[in-house]
Amino acid sequence: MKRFKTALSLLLVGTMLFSTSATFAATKSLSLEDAILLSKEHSADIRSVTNQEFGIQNTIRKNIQNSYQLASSLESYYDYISIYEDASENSSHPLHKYIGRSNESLTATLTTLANQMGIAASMGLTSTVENIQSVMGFIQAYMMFGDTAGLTKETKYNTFKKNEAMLQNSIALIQTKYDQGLIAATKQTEAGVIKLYVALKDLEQGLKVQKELLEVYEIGLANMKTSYEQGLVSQNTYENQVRTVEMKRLETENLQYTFDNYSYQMKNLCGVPMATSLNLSTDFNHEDYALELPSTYYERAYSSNMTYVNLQAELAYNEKNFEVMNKYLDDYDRSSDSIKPIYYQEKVDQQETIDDLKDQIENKKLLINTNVTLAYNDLIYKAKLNDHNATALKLAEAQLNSGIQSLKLGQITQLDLDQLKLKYESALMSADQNKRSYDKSVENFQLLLDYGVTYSAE
Amino acid sequence: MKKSILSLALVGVMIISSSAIAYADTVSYSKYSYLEKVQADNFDLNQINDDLEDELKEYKVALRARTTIKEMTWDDFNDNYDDSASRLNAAQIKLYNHIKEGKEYLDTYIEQQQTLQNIVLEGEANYFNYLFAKRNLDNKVDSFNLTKSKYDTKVLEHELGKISDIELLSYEKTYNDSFVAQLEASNAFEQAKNEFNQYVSEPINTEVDLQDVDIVLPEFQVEDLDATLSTLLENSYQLQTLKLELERLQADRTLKGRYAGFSDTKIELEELEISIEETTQQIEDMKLDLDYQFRTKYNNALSAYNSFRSAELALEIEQSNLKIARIKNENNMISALDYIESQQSYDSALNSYYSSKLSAYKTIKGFNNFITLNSTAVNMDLK
Repeated sequence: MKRFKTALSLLLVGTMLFSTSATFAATKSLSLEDAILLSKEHSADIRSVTNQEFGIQNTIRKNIQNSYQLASSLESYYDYISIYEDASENSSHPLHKYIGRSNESLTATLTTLANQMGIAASMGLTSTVENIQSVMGFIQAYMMFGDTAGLTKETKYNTFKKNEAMLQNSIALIQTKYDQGLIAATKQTEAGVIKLYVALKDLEQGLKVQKELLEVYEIGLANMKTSYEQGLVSQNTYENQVRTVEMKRLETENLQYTFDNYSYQMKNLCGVPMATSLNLSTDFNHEDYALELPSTYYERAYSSNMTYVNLQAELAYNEKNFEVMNKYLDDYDRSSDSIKPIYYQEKVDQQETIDDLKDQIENKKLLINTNVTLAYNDLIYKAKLNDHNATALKLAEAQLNSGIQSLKLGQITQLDLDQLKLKYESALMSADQNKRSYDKSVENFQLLLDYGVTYSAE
Repeated sequence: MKKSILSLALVGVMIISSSAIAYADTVSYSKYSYLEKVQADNFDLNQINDDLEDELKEYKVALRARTTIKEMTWDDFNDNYDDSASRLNAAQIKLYNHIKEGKEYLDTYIEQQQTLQNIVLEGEANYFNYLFAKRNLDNKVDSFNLTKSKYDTKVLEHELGKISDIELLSYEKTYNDSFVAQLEASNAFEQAKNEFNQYVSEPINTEVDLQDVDIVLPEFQVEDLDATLSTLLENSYQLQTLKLELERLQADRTLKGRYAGFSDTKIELEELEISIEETTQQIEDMKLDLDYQFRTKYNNALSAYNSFRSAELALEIEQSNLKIARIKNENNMISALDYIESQQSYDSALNSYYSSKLSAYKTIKGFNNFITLNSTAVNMDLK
């Protein structure tokens, strides 16, 4: 009896706690669109991507500069190669004497020439300075480019062109990756907030039904108390019912805590102060899905899956590189034997990378197909279960109605009717739970199609 | 004669084996001695404290210097800058870096404390888990003995033709179920024992004798939610770190701002602006996140307590049902089978009661630890 008293007093305290947890300072109406917008503004994931933009733009700028440098080296190389050809073929050419000399010897010559240039400059001999400068320029270029290592002029030119094309290609990839990273972070944020919104709406509805059920339990208990006082119900039965109702109340309170926690999570995502009370204004009305799964859904899911999209971008980049390599390969064929194998190896490696990417893409496709099919089947299953539950609910409702008549006619007691009410409420609850579970499946499916979120059965 | 030789030989084998391989010893633990061992096995607490003390000395000097640096003149600093304001700035940044270093030690210390608390909490859970596994096994053995005695009676009654084949079969099924339940409890107990022995680094087959204590649920260390939260936001060591970083970045911006004419500095300033913006945002995010964590953990603790209360009520219901079933069974008002079922429901409710109590203990204590670490302890060190 002592324990029983404690249970009762706890029941009272519990009810008080319950009502205080529902009082909040301000209320904010939050539609799904608002939530998506706010969470995107607040998202640390998105911010961390956009914060990279400065660095990425710098990298791109540097790459473009490199590309210019390549182009200008190419120009100076072109100037050099024609002078070189003249100088090496014509023994009376003033630069002929430098061809074939060692780097040490050329460095010593450069020092001498620099001294001479200094003297000429101090004497104001402008044209002499310019002459010495052009000789020094040739020697420096010769030390750098040499006798072209057996390559033809065109081959050297093509190497420049190839490197430049590949550089431009990688600049494009950096930009694409950045854009895709931003899309991925945005999609992830959006998908997360949609999922949470659906879960919150679901809990809100669940809590409403649970509270209704608790009320039926409490009314039933009050009725039972009367019966107990009249000696119609045993003390043990009554006391156990008090405990059962208290357990229901604790269960309801815990559902409220879960709801509050989800709500806090939503506020955290959207950057809304925790003390604000949220009013979820969007209601979901889902259309029914056809029994056949349209194949276009697979395509839609591919383009939403960022891993898949990234793989495609990687593939496009590597295929472009391969194309560039092939374009200049004929020239490599004419180049020296020592270099040829390197170029061929490059090509083979590139082909392997492409094949590997294609494999990865195929695997990803298979995985997405499986996910789409699973999610779709889940959806159809839940829809059928909805129909089944609707029938069970109708039955419970009919039984309750006939019970009300029977009570009036004195055929059953109030306690019997309370049992029927409970049965009806339980049927209502499971129908409602399944309906909500169906709604979640629909959201799951749509998230999979539009955001590439991996399907998980709940 | 033969027999005594054989037994002597056996004794010899036993002596040899006990000295050669680890024989099943028995170790005794009280909750206190056990937790001491858990802590000692995982952490050299004295070493941590010594390290911290050394590192914190410099950190505290730097913290004090930060408050007086504004009153110093440029003569106090010998640096590469030729104007006094820049020298002061440069000195400030140096100090911030110094403070940051000290702060990192403090943060590491706090994180170690956090790990230690978790280890202790896990250790406690392990202790109780083992105790409960033992209690559960005892219950299941009692239940099995009850079922067995009823079954034996029914076998006799069946032989005498008092009960039908089908009736005996239903008792046999209950008997088998009870046997399986006992086996499962026994396995769970062995597993809990192994885990426990691993936890205390004892050989796996060591018999453990634990002092039987009940879980006492901790009090919530929160009286005023808002007040606790604001203390938490004021003293959180993670927030302090970010605030310090922001101060450092701002000082750096002031210094570099004087040299904005140079192109390198211009890019650095641009990067600094981004970092300042990001850190400011991080501070706001962390405040919101701490608020979120605090409320969620609090709700989880309340919820775990409710689940425990619910299990307690369910146990009370089963207890009263069992009491009535026992009386009814003694007076032949219900079958022995119904009585056994009552006993089994009670066992299962008792097990749920234990596990929900343990879960509530862990959650509430985890919440209290979160509050303690994020407010009081750090506050003390920072001032």
